Amino acid sequence: MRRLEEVLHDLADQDKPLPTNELITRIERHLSGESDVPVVVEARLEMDTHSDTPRTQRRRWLPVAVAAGAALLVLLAVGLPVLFLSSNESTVAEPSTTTVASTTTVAPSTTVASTTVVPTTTPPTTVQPTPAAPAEVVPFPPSELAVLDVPLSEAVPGFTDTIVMTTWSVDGFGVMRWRSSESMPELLLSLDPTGSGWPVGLDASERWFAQILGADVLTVQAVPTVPGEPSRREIVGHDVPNEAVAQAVWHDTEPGRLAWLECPNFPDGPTTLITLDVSDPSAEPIRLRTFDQGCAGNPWGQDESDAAKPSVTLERWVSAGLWVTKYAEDAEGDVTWGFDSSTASSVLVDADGNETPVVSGAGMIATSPGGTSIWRGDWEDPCFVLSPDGQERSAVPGVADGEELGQAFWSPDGTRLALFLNTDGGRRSGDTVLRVVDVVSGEIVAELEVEEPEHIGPFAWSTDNRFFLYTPEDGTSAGPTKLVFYDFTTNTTTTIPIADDLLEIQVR
Amino acid sequence: MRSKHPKKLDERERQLIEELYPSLRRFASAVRLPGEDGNDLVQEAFLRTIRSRDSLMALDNPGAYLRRTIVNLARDQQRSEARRRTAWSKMGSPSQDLSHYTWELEELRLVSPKSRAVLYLRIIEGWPYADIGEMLGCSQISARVAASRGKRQLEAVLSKEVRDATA
Repeated sequence: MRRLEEVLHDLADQDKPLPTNELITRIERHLSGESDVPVVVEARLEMDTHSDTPRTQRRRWLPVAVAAGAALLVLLAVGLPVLFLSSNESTVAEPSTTTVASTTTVAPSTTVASTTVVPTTTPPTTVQPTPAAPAEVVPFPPSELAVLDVPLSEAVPGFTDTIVMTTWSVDGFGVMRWRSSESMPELLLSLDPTGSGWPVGLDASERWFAQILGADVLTVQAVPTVPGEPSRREIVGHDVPNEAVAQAVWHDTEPGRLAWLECPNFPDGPTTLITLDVSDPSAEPIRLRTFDQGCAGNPWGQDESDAAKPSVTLERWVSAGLWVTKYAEDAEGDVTWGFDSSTASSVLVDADGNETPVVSGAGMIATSPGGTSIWRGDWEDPCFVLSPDGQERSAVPGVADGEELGQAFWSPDGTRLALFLNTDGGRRSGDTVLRVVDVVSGEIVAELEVEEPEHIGPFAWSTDNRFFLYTPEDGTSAGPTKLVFYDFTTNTTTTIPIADDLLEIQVR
Repeated sequence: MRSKHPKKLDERERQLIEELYPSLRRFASAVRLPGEDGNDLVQEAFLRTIRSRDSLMALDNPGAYLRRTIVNLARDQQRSEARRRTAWSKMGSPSQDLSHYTWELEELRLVSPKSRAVLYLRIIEGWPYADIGEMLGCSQISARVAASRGKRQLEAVLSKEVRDATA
């Protein structure tokens, strides 16, 4: 990882800085229309003053381009394959070398509040043989993630749930299930060797797994009864040109109920909300309703424009209905989200497609399993606990002045919130506090400070509200390396080392 | 849409550019394509932002907005580069194939701009994935996947470096 950090520094230092006033002069010249030359072209002409390697490379390619063009003309005129080959030989550039400036960086130390670190055993060298699989299924060794000496329930006393984890590697997605009675997770599915899929996850019964493929096709496949057994996936969302399945969610509690958004002429609207009961072989997709807005980006964020468009997103599917957030144009005609102001509203769509407005305003909405919700404005705005009809009940407790709420997640019983806070008003690493508050009493139940350079990765509540599972990530790594169980009854944590491929965790 | 921005930057915008430029230049240098210059991306990002928003001061978080614009520009360059390579290939001439860039740093640039952007923001600038997702206009998990993919690709190049050194 140190080497990775070094080369990233090297990449960042490769282009020499311009004097800032020169940059400003360039920008002003373009603003005033003095230059008819496109910015990037002009900049390339000027680059020789501040870049060595690209200049050399370009100069080498100038005759290459000329020679290739000339060779093409000759080829077209004469049509002799011999000349074609000769042209090829004459235009091969000599490889160049450059010296890598190595930067020495000391990796910051990390601290995690933990009382127990569970030792892991060396992964077994013999892996269960996997039966011959069709192309879409690849073996994914379960031992990559975590292996304990004892069952999970012994390593984490009191923990009785099953953890479902989505992992990722260059081989594709892996879906693993870790029962508390087992010492290691088991493989349920390994998917999509191209890595171009987007996991929607397992349904409430853990019998079906859905994913959106890179071509914007929604697929569902049954989870095999034997781990690692091949499973054929079926397309449920349409594979129509210019039409994309942008987002999908399973029902929180009802098995096999899947909802998704489809957008013709992606990413522009209108958007259609569709549901399907995959547990019923005779069921057909139900087009619940359409929205004027488009789909909010595709799962991979491959939006082509700088500014977002009016859009809708699926939040979750609870017993009260489907929570949908709609982003509209603001007074200035802009629609942005994430790091800028936006105009958002949340609606609840029932089984008949009827829409009930719930919350309006800017910001993020998080819905508890029971349908209670939390709303916040922009980063600095106050946050409120809302009742299911959208009425403000109270300010979110546990957020002090100067602190910014990054995310908030309800406990399954809807009485507690896990708050991810930035304590210095900034949005940088090292300032994250994970604070759990009781929204009824307003008391802070627990506070876990994640020290620099750590962040918190995937997390989840246990079903009995007793544990909060989270994954601190070393700031110098690309993924989490441990899974922490915080026990509210004993105020202790148990840490289990894991591999760094974890994308999501769910507790069932 | 033509910008309503005056021809000169005001003092606050100048100060903002001075403040943001050093970090944006390093970021752009990390995500740019081979043979390009990160300064060009920074300059283009400032210009596009000013033209589309009329002023840099109209943004709540200009640093994040500009980083996202830089990544989008790098992606545009990547697509253009791919089209160029295809065109050269159809002409029966040697394309400006990136494989000709045999030195290490340029080889690292074969990793997608998005993956490099995520890794840089994560490992060098220290942002959480949630914020990186917001910055780049993608989900947190998408950012994680991009980081994981990029890390493995970069590590593959680095392990080749080690193999070459020990051969």
